[in-house]
Amino acid sequence: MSLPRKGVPDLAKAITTIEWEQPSAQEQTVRRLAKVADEAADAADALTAFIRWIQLMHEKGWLQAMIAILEQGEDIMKILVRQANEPEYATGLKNLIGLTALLGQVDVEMLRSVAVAAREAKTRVTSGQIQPVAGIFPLLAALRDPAVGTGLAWMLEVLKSLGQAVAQPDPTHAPAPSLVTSAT
Amino acid sequence: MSASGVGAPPTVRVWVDDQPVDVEPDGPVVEAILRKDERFPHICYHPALGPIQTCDTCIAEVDGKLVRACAVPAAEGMQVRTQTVRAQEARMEAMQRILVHHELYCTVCDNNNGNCIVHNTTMHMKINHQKYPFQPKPYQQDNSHPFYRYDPDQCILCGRCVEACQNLQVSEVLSIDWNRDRPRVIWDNDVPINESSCVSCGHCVTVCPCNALMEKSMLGEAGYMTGLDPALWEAMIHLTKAVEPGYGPIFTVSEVEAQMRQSRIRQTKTVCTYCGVGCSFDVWTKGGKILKVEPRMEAPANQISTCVKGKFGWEFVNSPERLLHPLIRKGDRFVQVSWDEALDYTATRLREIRDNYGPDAIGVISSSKCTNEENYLMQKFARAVIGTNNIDNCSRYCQTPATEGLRRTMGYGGDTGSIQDIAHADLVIIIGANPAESHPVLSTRIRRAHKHFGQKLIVADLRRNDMAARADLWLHPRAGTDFIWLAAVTKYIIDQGWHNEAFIREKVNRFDEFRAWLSPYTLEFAEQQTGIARKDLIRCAEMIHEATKVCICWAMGVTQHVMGSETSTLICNLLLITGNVGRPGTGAYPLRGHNNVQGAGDFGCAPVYLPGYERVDDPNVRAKYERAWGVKLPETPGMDNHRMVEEIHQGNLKAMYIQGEEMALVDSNSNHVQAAFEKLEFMVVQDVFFSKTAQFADVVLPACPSLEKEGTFTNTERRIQRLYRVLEPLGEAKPDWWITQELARRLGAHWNYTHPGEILEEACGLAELLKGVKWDRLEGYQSLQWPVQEDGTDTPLLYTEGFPFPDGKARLHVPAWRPPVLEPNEEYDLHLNNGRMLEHFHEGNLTYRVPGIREKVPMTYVEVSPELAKKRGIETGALVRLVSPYGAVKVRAVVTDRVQGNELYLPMNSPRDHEAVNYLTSSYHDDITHTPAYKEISVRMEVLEAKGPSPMKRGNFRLGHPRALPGVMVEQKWRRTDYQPLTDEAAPSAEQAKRLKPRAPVPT
Repeated sequence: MSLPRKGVPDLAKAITTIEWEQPSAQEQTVRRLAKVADEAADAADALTAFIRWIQLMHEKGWLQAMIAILEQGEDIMKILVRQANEPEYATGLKNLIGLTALLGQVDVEMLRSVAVAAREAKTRVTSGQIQPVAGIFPLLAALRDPAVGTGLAWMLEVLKSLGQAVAQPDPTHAPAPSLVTSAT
Repeated sequence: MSASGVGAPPTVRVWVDDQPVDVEPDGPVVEAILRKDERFPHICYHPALGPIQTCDTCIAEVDGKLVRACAVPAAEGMQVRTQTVRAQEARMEAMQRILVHHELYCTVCDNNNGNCIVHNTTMHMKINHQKYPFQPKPYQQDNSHPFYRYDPDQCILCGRCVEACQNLQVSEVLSIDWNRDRPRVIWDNDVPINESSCVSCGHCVTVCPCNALMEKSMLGEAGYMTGLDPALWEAMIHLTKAVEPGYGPIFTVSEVEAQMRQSRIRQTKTVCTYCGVGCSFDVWTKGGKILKVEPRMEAPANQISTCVKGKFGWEFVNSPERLLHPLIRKGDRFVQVSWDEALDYTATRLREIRDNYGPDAIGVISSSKCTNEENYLMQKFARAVIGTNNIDNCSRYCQTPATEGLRRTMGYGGDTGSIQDIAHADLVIIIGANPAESHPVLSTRIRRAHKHFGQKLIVADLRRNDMAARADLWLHPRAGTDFIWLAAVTKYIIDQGWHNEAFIREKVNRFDEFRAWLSPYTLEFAEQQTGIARKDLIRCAEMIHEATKVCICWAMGVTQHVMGSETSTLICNLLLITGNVGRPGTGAYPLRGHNNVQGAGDFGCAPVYLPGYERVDDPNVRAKYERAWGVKLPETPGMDNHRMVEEIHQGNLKAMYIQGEEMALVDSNSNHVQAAFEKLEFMVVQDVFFSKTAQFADVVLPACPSLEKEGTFTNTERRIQRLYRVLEPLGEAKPDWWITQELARRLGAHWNYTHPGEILEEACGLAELLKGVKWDRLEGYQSLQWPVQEDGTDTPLLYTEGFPFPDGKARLHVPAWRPPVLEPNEEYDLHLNNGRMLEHFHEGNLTYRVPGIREKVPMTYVEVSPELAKKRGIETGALVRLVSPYGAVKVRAVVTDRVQGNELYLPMNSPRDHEAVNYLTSSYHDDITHTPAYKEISVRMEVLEAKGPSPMKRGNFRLGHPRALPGVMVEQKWRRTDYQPLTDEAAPSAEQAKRLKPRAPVPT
């Protein structure tokens, strides 16, 4: 290539004009598509499966629904959040989450024992193995049975714990310290 | 493994919940607990800051008493119990008190990235409900600063930011006003952040344990839901609060979301591209966006410290002004071409010029901004491909005289120790340097040691800069006379018998010759020549004598003089005769300016030296490289960059290949340099931006900045560190090593490097100094300080076993005096000092392209003393023309007492080329190294407008008013009526707790 040599006065100075290449819109599109084609070629199998999946979504109308949700995304979120903030729904959500958390606290083994005990007792009652307790003296006699005593003690403890729980204030509503005495 | 490391430090054994843990003695016992359980709460405690004692979350039982574990020194046999009911209840209460101040909305919080301390602590303590509800504070968010914001509603008043600002960065801007009903963090005397003296170092944001202080670049970007419309975001937080029966489910969601963020946020380690401190940190990116810089305790040079440039100065990488395509000059314009066309043309022209005029008609300039590998290839290109030793780099403009002084006297041309040594000195002397603005993180270690650990400080400088204002002794010599007062102080020390006779006898030669040479340098002579009072010279000598460990730091105020090498030599002589070399906490520290100016020299970019400072005119050395490279190499030393300019004017140099160097503006006497460029027959410039230098080129090649490539840098501590690619190269920009290799191939070289690691292995395999440097030994945050032995043992401290001379002894070198040039006269009556400023780096090509930095300092200005301003009838904002025998510039003035009398100061950075200070400087230079005498110039000042708009804009920290405080002053919190103590006994006093603070952060 023959290009001007420095040292010729007109061309020796500092110059600041730059002619950047301005590819046409078509050239830019061609370049971008070439990039996409390269990626697609590397993932041909996955892409084929993906296209099949998209086609099915489209045929069933799900694709249009998803597009709508994404296009309206933030506005939809606002609607949902606004609605969820209504007291009846917020409380419901809170209870739902609370119940879910409660499930984690349930002692299934203990419940099973209680259920088994109740079933066995029912069986003995209905089969006539057990006579109803009538009067104070049969009751006192029943209390002498260690198993009955244990069961009764258990029930009393349950009542005691229940009473204590009902009496305790809600921890989420602890009185806030005053601004002056706020914990620093 | 270090050659100069001592044996393992002693430890004490404490018992944590009946488990033995060995820790350093006198460190806080919380460190022992954390070794056993890294999740133990400790919100305000940070290993770089030491105990702060505001949060109370680290309370444990120690020898039966409830104490803050951060404030109790570990002692042998100590019994620590963390799981007692009392201890657990105290910590829980402390954490509940913290949550009053912080609204938990982790899932939609930009700080929920797995490292939020408040989130993690709340979760690990299994807090399901808040005992005390959150209470908003009566303060607005402060969004005034361009880089970070403060949200008082999220601030837990832990004081980490205050401690970092007051005692680690020691800019002393932040404090907590404990006297308010609702305390808050304040800047200066409670002004908006951007109107304060905040230097934008980023320490406060880095140490904040939650999202109270956040980088603005993170907001709305980090989380999947954090960029929501604000109204929706608020509604979601409200909903979360309303529906949660406890925090458990919420934390689960936020943990999942934090994990999801790892799919799109990359964290990549790099080494700062700016100054020679060599800070390293992780850069967080999302796609091509830089989210933030996160320094880490593992970083060997800086730990968690940064400055405004390292923390916030990276937007230039994505600037629309980046060079993205090769350019060729055609007529009166540059035209975009392909890489093949640009490289083919360049190779053709270089070949033509070499064939017509010989290889020495070509000059090659490498870059102190480029990696070691790229520097190695540039000098290999010059020598093995072109066939010339005409290779240099910008250390010629700055520290080559210091290198000369060190090499003459001690043997190696590098700092004798590490930043840790400077931090642990008894006395630091700073001569002709402004580290608070030029090496900010390094200067924080001096400021911290001075403020809290009894370190003494002497500063010798024309300007009353930040360090001079703090100094115990500030010497203000007449410009260019450091040589004289240094000689006088040295003589006085010897006359008093304060020199270290044993050290001299065992380790130093030529004492008698040097002593005899000193005889004319009496205190009287020095006082008369320098203007420094005799009593101050004596005081300086006394302080040196009283200190057992002395470090001397110096920079351009010493080296950029016609006697730069000689004055540097005197500094080295002074250290040698007082025995302040080769011991921890002592030594010589010429502060390297650029991120890799040390490496550029280490890897052979100098006309006299091949890599490892092996001489080109040594036949054995040359033979080694000829065998390795397979070519015959030139025998005679080449031209340095300053001489290249003269040779162009003489018609001997016809072409230049310049990589990453703004030579048109940073070499002295810019008009002269630019006139030379116009005479070249061919010039190729390789750079990140279209610089002033590039305007003279025939070919411009677009190169990658540091974030877009791999490699290593070497900092001022001789520390080699790896940088990793953070971002993909923009446009068609390429790493410099790729470009050089492509050129070399087109000129017949058979280079086939595929990765910088291969280049490093080759270079270090040849250079004795770097023999043990291997790519994989530099993995992550590991580093090596040369010399490095083959087994990888490096050398943090030089000269512990002697000096690298045949007899193992150092040599006192008798320097030669030469008076400074261009002193003020009738026509040019004012001395013009010049240098850097904090916010902008060097000439500003990078930092002026960071919008936030440009907002704070949009232009340069000349500093004029109040007394001179009064005489000339000007005020801040005046427009003046500064005229020297070499050129003129027009700038606005700032009247300030940072300068005195007839001394002016003009920074070397400017957004406008025509304001560059080097249009005023001369071509006079140091006789030995040819370093330009930038500091020896006088000007006259013509007043064009006596007043005008101030060039110092809102946001310039110099307009603020810092307040030096001991720290958080937590005692004020404890004295509040609403504070209920949780520990068994009165807390240690601030003095007692201070003993637990690290003198300098130690990398983990």
